[in-house]
Amino acid sequence: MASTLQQVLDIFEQNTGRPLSVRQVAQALDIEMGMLESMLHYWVRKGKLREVGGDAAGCAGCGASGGCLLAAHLPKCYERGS
Amino acid sequence: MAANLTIALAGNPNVGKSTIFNCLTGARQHVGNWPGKTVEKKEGVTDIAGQNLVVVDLPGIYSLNAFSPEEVITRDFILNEKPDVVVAVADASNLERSLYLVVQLLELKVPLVLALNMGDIAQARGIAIDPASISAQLGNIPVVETVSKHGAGIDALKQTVHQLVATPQSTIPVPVDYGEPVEAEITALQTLIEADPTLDQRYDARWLAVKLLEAEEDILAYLEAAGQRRLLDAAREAMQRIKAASGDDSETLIADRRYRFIGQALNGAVTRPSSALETGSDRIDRIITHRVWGLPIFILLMWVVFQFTANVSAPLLDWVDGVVGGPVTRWATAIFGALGLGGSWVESLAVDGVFAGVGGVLVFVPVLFFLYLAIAILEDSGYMARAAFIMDDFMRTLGLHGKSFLPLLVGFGCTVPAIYATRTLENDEDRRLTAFLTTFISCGARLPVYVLFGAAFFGAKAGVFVFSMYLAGGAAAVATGFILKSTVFKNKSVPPFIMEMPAYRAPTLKGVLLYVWKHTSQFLRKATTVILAASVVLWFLTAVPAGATLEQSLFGIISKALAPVFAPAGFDSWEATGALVTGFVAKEVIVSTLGQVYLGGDDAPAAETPTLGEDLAEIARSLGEAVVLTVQETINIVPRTVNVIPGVSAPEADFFGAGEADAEDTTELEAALNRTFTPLSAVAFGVFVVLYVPCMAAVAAIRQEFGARWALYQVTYSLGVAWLVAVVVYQGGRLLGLG
Repeated sequence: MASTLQQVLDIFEQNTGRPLSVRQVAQALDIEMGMLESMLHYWVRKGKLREVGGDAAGCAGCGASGGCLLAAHLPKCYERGS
Repeated sequence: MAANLTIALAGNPNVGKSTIFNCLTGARQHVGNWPGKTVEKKEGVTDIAGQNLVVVDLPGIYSLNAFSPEEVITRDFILNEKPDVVVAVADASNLERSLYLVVQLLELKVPLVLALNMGDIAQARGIAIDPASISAQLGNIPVVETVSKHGAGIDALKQTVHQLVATPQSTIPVPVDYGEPVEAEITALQTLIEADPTLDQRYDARWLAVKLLEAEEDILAYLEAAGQRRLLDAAREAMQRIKAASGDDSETLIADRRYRFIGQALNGAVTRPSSALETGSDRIDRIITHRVWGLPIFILLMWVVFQFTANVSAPLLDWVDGVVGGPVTRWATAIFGALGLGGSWVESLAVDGVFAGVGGVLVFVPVLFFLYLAIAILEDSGYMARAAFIMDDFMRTLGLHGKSFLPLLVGFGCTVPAIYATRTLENDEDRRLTAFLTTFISCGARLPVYVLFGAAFFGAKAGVFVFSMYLAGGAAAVATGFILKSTVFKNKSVPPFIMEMPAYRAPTLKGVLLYVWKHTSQFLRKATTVILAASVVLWFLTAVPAGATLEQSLFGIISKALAPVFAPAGFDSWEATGALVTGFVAKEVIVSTLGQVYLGGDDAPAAETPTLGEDLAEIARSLGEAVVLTVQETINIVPRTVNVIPGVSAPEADFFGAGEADAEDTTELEAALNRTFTPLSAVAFGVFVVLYVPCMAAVAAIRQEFGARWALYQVTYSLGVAWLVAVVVYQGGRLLGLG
């Protein structure tokens, strides 16, 4: 059986349906949400996942970011890295 | 105690490490760069038990895995400089994340103190921590609770550091058990390392063995340069064996075991209210993000938003319209008369151009105020984050995922930032498709047009008309999505994503007001720049040649030439055509143009000119009435929403007993429109406004982001769709006997 850390990554490969919330994934893997967030962050730092939103990092360099509703309110999402 | 002792502060970013550094060193610090790096180095001096100690604030990092220069600096400093004490600063409200670094520091076998910082935030979140238990789980390392922003726990931290320096650590931190087959390979590599004195003196053998199995690039490069080929080959073969035996690579297994170790260490040491129980947000989400109910609830909320926007704002809109079109225009005319400019071109420019144009748009400030107020409440409550989640299923049918819905939501405010917001999407095809669809989402600038036509032709049902226009834009976006998905983007795949849902919360007054001010003031800035300029140009076009009537002016001639194109759509008057042409500059200009062409030349004298005092008294009286009516319309959202259900007829509030009489009230411009349009041609006109090119700025944004060809596609496509749908609406309506 794959490690929990690997299972977190596998979710992005296997899940072709609707999006999942961090809470749903944490419940499915039976781990604390903080632990899952830390694991997601691990894969982000490894470049396997991308973190979009939250701090509007994706908007860097956008001239409209000052007037952009998204910049302040985009929820943090994790998706497969390039 | 020896001289020149060093304390190193290590921790994740944003855990209050620098605040602890400031508490320890005060003004006795200096900032520079790490040698050969652009990473900031902060160093200071603290006094502990009468002795000065050097304090080094290491860069904020999440691990010692050399993913970043900061991590390399921290790891190398601890390895090479061997500080006397390392203080690991952890966020007590997010220990799972913080402890990953702490575990790696334990593996380095440095004298370690754990500072559990931000305990106040943890407490506020209902997280209870047992420091003694954490200490026991981590090999009895000293654990100190601090709240650095209040300076709490700093003395205890100093005392603990003092004790650790005075009596060197005798405890041996519990090592992470990496399990089989990793542990066997670590032991084998450890034996090789210990056999080589050059390595054994420099590194802890177990630590280096783990690093080799983690394939730490800079360590591998160092060993390669040092001629340690045999060790590197052994490590490579070990990693292959681990992969073959477990299916996972050794790096993942090692990280996973660290997380498991952290989980075990925190088990029983940390209790959370939400770990076993469902939170309030969870309970709300079970309904709000429900697979079946989520979408109808979303549509119902949007319905309420547009009822709120169109009807609640109406009394204040009428008040502003009355003030701008009445007293303010009269005062301006009087001032020009007093200056001897009465009847001059200057007065015409100001009154017929600027006042009719800019004033006609400023009338809609209350509409936008209420739109942004509604959006701000939804945003601040945490609901908007759910919209992407709820809409994901639907967006997938268009070849997009739910995240693309967020730029579309931004499009309800303004198309330009919505196009730029597509930068948050990774995939270029996602970006192009989303930006293309965004242009059909009805922006705030189009709202004044709907409100004007809604009030002019549909009275109390104006909210339904406005909502229908938004639905028309959404339907065009959906249809376009299907067309593009099955043609241009037919090979596109939609990757899944995981979203962090913020907890629901009561919107804050400050947050909502800031949001409303920011966006309403943007509209005001636009009114005093783009719309002012367009109004002046339009006035010029209507004034040339001199002495000509409006119909004979340059504006009239151009509009007349284009007007027959719109005959099948039922609005082929030169005034309507001219308004659509100027609407290309900005959609609000449609309203200002209609104001100028229908009212700009209206010189009918008032039967009796009120005095300044009478004007001011009337402004105050009508404002009071408008505020009361605003409250009335807010209350009426409930019956109007319920009355949508067939057979239901809930009574509506009517504070002034005006009933139908008020519903019949129309502004001058609404009356002028009633003479030119029929309700059916008004709907066709509205549909055209929803669908055709948003504005010049939006086209420029598309050109900047995706190139001139894509911008040209958008302009051509949207004009074609707008014309076609407007014709279908008008001709279809006539066939059904609605015209």
